[in-house]
Order: sequence, then C-alpha cells, then structure tokens
Amino acid sequence: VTKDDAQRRADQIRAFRAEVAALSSEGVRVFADEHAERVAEHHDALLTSLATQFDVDRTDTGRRMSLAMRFASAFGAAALTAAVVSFCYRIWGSLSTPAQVALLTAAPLVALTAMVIAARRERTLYVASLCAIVAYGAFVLQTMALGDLFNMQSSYRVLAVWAAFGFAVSWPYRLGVPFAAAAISVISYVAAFGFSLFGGKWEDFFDWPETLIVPAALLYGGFERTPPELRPWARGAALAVALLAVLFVAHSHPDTLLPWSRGTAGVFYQILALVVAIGVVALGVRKGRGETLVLGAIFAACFLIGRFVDWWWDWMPKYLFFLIIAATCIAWLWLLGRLRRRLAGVPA
Amino acid sequence: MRRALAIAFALPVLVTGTTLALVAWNRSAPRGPLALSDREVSLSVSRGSGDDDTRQTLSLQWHNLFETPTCDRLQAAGVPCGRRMDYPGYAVLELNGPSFAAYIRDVERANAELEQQPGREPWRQKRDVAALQGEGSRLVLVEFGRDGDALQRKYTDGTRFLILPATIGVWPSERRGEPAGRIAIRSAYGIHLPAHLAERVMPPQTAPGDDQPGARHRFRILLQYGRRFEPWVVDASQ
Repeated sequence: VTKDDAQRRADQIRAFRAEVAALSSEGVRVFADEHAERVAEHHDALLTSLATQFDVDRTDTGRRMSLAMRFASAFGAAALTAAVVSFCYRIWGSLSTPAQVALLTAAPLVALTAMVIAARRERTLYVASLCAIVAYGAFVLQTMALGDLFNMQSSYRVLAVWAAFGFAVSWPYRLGVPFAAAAISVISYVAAFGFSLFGGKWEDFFDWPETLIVPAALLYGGFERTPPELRPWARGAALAVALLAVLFVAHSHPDTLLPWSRGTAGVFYQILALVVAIGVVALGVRKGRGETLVLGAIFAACFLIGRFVDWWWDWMPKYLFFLIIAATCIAWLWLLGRLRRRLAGVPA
Repeated sequence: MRRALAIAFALPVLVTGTTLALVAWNRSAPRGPLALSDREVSLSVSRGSGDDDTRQTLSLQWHNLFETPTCDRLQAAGVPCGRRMDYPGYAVLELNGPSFAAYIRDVERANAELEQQPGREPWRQKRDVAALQGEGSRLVLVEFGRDGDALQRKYTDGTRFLILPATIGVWPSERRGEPAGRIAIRSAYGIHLPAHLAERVMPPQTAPGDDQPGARHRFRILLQYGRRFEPWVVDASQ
C-alpha cells in the first residue's frame, strides 16, 4: 500500500459517509443501526491507522493544507539551494583550494544527512523532500564548481552522474522532485551523447532541441517498473521535455540534424506536433494519466495559438483572428464532450 | 533503500576523488610555464568585503590571425565544413613571437587602406599601432585544429606556445574563399586564481580621489597546461 493508495481509500470512506448521510436524510435506510455502528467503527480504526502510517488527509481542509505545504516545501528548497550557492560564492575568495574542495564535497553530504534525519522524524516528508532538493542542488554545484576550480574541460558524463545522484536521493523515500530532475538529466545525457556523435560540442545539444525528442519519448514509457509514487513525476518530466522540444522546433525552425533543409524540417515538425498533440491527449484519456492529459492539453493549446499567430496575426483583422480562436475552442469542447460521452458509455 | 542511500552518500566523495585524480594526471606532464604580464592578462579579483561573488579569476587577451577562416582553412584543420555547427577543438596561442609582428603588420596595412579610402568602410576605425606595440597583448592565435596531441607535437615549446581547448564555429558559405567560421577560446576566460596567489597581485587600494590617471597595475603570471590541455596558474607576482 502506497501513500496514494491510502489517500484514495480515505477519500472513498469520506465519500461513502457523505452518501449514507444524504440517503438517510432522504429517508432511505441503508444499514440497520448496529451494522452502521460497526461500519463506522471499522472506518474510524482504518482512518486512524492510515493517518498514523501515511499521514493521509481526512478532510478537504487537510488536503488544501497539504497542497500549500507542498508548495512551501518546493519554494523553500529553491530558496535554500540559492542560499547555499550564494554563500559559497560569497566566501569563495577567502578560502584556500583544499578548503574549497572540502566545502564543495561536504555540502551535499550535509544536506543528505539532514534528509535522513528529517525522514525519520516526520512522516509527511516535507522537510526531507526540501533537504533532498538542496542535496541535489549542492551536488550539481559541486560538479560544476570543481570543474571551474581546476579549469577542467567539461564532459557530458556529468549529466549521467547527476542522474545517478537524483535517483539515489529520491528512491529511499519516494521523493518526486529529485526523481524528475534525474529523469531530465538522463534525457539530457542521451541527447548530449548523441549530439557529440555528430561531432558537435556537447554543451550545444540544447541549441538543437530535436536531440531531446527521441530520448524523452523513449523514457516516457521506460518507468513502468519504478515505484508508483514516482512514476507520474518521471513521466511528466519526460513528456514536458519532449513536448517543449517539439514546440520549439515546430515554431522556431532552428538548424536541424535531419538531412533536409530547415524549411522542410520545419513543416515536418509542425505535422509531427499536431499528431503528437492529439496522440498525447488520447493517451492521457485512455490510460487515465492525469499529468499526460494536462501536459498534452497545454501543448496542444500553445502549439495551435502559436501557429495561428504565425499564419494570420499580421494580415488578418484582429476580430477575425480571435473569432477563429474562439471557434477552435468550441470545436475542441465539442470533441472532448463526445469523447467523454463515449467513455461514459452514453450514446453521442 | 539502504543501497540507494549508500550510493547517494558515496557519489559526492567519488566525484571529488575522480576530479582530483584527473587533475593530478593533467598536471603530471606540465608544459610551460608561459610568463604572461598585465598586457595579456586581465584580473577579476575581489577583496571579499561584502561582495556577493568573491571568485578570483583571470582572463587572457589575445589577437586573432584567423578572424574568419575560410572553408578550405577549416578543412585543413580537420573541421568539416558541410553543416552549421560548433565543433570542439584546440587553439594554439603564441606569446611575443613572429605572429605578433605579423599581426602588427596586418593592423598597419588595414590602417593604410583606411587612409587611402576613408569612406569605404565607415564603421572601421584606425587602430593605435604604437599603443598596441607598447601596451597591447602579445598573445596571438596562430593555429587551430581538432587534434590537440597533433598540435602539441608541432608546438613543443611550452614557454612560447599555449594550447587550450577551443570552439570552432562553422557556418558554411556558398562561395569558395568566403569567411566560414570563427574560433572562440572559452577556456581562456575565467581561469581560477588560487587565493594565496590572488593576494600577491591584488591591485593597490586607493582612497577616493587618489586615482592616478594612466597608472597601470603591473603584475606577472606564470601559466602552465597539462596532458588534458587544462591550464593552471603556478605563480603570480607584482
């Protein structure tokens, strides 16, 4: 049983209780009094156990509080990482080289130790998650600052090391953010490696976003054996990278690695973007993957609006332009409505 | 869980160990030193009093004999010229050698052309040759290529030549003989200056109003590079 499973069960119990109360107020008795008491006792015990083990939210207020805490944890982690980096740079000039090396090595180890202690003390893992993100940031700082310190040539292998650290940090306590960062590092590593095979400077792989599309798409389906709590994070990260890369190449027509001219490659990527937009939304609906559906819908909207601006903004009257966007939205609503009815088994 | 945590704790230590091993390997066959002065080097040093960034670095100033190499020149250096792309490579800088004299001659020729046809390229300005000879950098890019070891075999004198990792940018031209690339030496910028050496070349602190116009902060830097063409500062003095 994972935390998500526990939360699902707690939500089910809450919904069940609300429905029984509604039925009873409408004069429908579902259980005899003694049965109702036994069910209520069982549910109370179950909720207490789930709350003790997984710290599930028992009310809507609790759920909203959890969301707020998650945001606070993420912002806190970002701010603390920035503080660690800024502190290092502020005292850098006054340290000898051995002290600089020691500080860079110690920073991620201290954050890791804090993560382990925090995870033992609080079940919610908000502080542990914060420490894990700081550890990841400190580790990235370590690899980069050591390179600067000794004027070393950079290597794409550093991306594989970041990925290994991200996976190792996130795995024990199922922490999503470092897992997503590790997934992005793997994608970047494969893209940088592939780009270097073309002879280019590996750091430039980012200027050739098409190098990211294939590894991100492959990785999207490659997390089936990971713990279920981490899967959406990795899938979301991989999908976001792939869709952003497709969006960029479809709109900006950068230099291409395909054996075609930039114009031909641009048209190819525009067609690909359209197919991908439809495919991702369909996949999200079919498999019931929330993150896939949301990212697919955002991508489709960005792609279509970008295309419309490109094609019509300069010469079309503005009212007509916005009218077309509104018509597209209505058509999109109609399509989704049909899809929803079909999924619900209602004839269209 | 324990195995993952053990890997997480081991990785920072492993990274430091690997880095130090690579640095030791690079420095086990030092080339040089190259004696540079304030003509070739600009310092970025901080006194650490309230600065948010106190990293101490130096950057090399150099001239380029191959402002924009042609496709033929790029191909001769082993760089493919078929696709617009930046390639990793190496650049050779010569200190105060015949290439510096050649560079001065180039500048004099360009100045003479400007005098003869003043309105032809209005954006170009005459350059002060005397200042260049007296105060300008004497480091000149003389060669570039993709194979650092081949360059090392050709330019063996480490007290005159410095070989550094570089980027060779290519933008293929339709016409033969037209500019088709550029050389960038990113490793020549932001070279780490250890704290104990930075102290020796720290510019004198002046009170407001004490600035002497034209007074130049003089210093000397000894630079070496190793097997991996990674440079390091071995000494610094005023």
